[in-house]
Amino acid sequence: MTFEKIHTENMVLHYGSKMALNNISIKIPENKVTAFIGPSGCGKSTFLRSLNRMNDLIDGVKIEGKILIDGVNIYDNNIDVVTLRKKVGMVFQKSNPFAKSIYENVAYGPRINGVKDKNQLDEIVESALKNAAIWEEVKDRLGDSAMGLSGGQQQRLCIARTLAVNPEIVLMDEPASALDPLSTSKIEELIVQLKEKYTIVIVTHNMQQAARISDLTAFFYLGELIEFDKTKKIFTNPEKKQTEDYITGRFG
Amino acid sequence: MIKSFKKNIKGILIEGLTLSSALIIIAIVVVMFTVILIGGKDQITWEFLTSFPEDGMTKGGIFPAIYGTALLVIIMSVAAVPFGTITAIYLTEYAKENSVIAKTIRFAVRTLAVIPSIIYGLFGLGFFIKFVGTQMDNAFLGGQLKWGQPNILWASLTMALLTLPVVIVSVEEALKTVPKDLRAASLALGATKWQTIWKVVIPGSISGIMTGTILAVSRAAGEVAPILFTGVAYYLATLPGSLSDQFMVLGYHIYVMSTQSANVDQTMPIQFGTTLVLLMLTFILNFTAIILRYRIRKKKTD
Amino acid sequence: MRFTGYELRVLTKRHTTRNKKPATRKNQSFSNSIPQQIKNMENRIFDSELEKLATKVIEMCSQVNQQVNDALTALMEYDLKLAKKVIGNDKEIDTLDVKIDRLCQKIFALQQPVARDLRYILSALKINNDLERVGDHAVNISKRIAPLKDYRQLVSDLGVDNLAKETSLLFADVLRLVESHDLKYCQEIYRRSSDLKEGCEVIAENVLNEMMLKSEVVVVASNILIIVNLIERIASYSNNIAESITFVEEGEIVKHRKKD
Repeated sequence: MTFEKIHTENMVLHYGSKMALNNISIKIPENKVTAFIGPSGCGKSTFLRSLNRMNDLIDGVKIEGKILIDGVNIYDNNIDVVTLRKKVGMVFQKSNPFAKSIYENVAYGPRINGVKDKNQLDEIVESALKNAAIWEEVKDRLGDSAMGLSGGQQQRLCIARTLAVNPEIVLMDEPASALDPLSTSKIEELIVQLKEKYTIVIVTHNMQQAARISDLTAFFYLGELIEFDKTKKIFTNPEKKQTEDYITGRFG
Repeated sequence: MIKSFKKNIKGILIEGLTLSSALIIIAIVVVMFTVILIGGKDQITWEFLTSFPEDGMTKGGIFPAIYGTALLVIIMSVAAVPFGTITAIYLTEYAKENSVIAKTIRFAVRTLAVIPSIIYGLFGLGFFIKFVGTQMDNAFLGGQLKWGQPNILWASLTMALLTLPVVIVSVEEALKTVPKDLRAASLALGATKWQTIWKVVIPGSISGIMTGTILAVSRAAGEVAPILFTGVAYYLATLPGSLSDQFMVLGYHIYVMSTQSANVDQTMPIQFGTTLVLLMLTFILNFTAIILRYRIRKKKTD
Repeated sequence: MRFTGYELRVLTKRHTTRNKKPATRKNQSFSNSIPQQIKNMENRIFDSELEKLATKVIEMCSQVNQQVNDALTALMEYDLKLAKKVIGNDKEIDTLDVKIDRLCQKIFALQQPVARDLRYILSALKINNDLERVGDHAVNISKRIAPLKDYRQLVSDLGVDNLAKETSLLFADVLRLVESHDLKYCQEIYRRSSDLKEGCEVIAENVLNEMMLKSEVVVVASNILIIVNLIERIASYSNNIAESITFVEEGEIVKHRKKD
């Protein structure tokens, strides 16, 4: 039986005694952009973080059910979390470059993976910065501190940093929510380009953004997956009334 | 929009009050300084700083005291700083926020921080000298008295205990200034926890760590009570050659000179000089910390 | 067959506003006629825009309905004065047409509608267009009444009066559908319109026969043919409107499908 790239069955997540995700079953295909939408607190970010086990960092989190990536349950005891996170990268809402130079930020990932050869690192850094559509802007100042970049540039740098470890899946948690419209549209363009090589899952509050750039959309509400379908269908003729009420702005 | 007269007066009064208390503080510092400066500036000669005291402290220099202070500070730092840093790293990075162990450690640190320094001295005497020292003598030297008495090693360790809480707290604070999302970013790239600490957290907080430790150490440099029973001496003809020797320090030197010397008036100039030297030393240490912090910060934001 | 004023009012319910001045018509509350779904929504800027749009569409439909009825009455009673009135009222319908187009454009640009809202506005544009054409046809029918002087009996014998009555009933259903968005009217509309079209074909044949038999009625007969053709177009547009509203409610495009 072939599995989709990301495949969950009856996944349940508890924060202590509180159930945050209830019975999530979803099949996310490869090389597409899948968007998670839903009101605040509906569990979409929590679910996203489960896909690269960043929820392990939070105390009291319990997960049941199957979460498979490429057919392998990532919560198995013999799974190395460090390797998993190289395969499944993450870009955060607020850009968080290290207080190092631009070069060092992007080289961080490869370095901790053991790449020492300077030429190799140079190649990886350049390729990652090009893939993140920021190479032209920084190629002459790779040694400058990353903190000197603008918000939009910093976020693209963080994307480059994630791409430098060569993941297969890139998770994005509201990557453009802190940016101005011009930077946002650059990031959106970038995301659409990236899906050729990577599988993208993006959480967004901005429904028009989800409509613009995603191929598939999943609507979460109060910890449940209400509807998951092609984006075009969700935005022209959704099956569930809750979905319709949310995307037309009548609640949430 | 016109300010009421009453509110105006109140505003001016408060501003005046706060300004005057600030001025008083500045005045105190200025007075202190001027007195010490005037009294001691003539004493500061190369000879003073490099020769031994003579004639019952009425003549000569304070070199051994300077040497002893420096040695004490160095050994104390070597003992306290790594130990304190590692504890702080454990507390912030590894221990769960509200676990029993974290709470216990924090409680212990807080308690240590408020213990009077003289008690440290007594502890040093009772534990390091009487217990550890004599055990060492019995085990390695067959009862011969070498480690079971006051010396610079025990004094430094006692002082290390004193500085430990301050080091832990300031390193902890420095580590906390590194935002959580930097750690998250590192982990999300597939780094282990230790890699994250070593490559992201510590470099990101290094300025805080350094300034915190330097400040802690410079305060301890002037403490006298803990070393009273654990190794300091008023007058030694030679410099301490090994860890088992006693030593002199500036602070103690001043104390004894001003209270117990045979001829207080004659030693007065030397007292002023020694005080000035101690003050200068503290200043230099603090100043270094500030410069370091400034330069590291500047490098970060470029 | 004649329609009395009372029957007309019954068919068009409270939207009979022809006897009142335009100003009064605007004051009338249409809140009863706005589809229930819209009324259930929370109050937002968007909702008030949608309500405005719904009100205008219903008003347009009601006015066009009035035009159709008036034109058909004028036809059956040979009332030239009424025919002139229909021709004169067309300007108002054109104005309303433009207003609706503008409102749809504004909502699209400013509100980024999705799902049912999106379908509603898309269909409003289409329905608006279809209604404007129906209004045009009513005017064209009215223009062709004068030549029928002295031939009242022929018109009735050919079955045109019955056709006219059926058309009124059909369009009354369309108005009800537009007001309520209740898809139960669709089946009736498809059925009536299908019957109507058949009837038109029959009458057209009869008219042709008449023309071949009596050459002096050619002018009258060709006018009648055109009128019958216009009525057939009105039936087509009624179908279109029903399809558009089905699209809004069910999200499926049902046009060009066989309706059994």
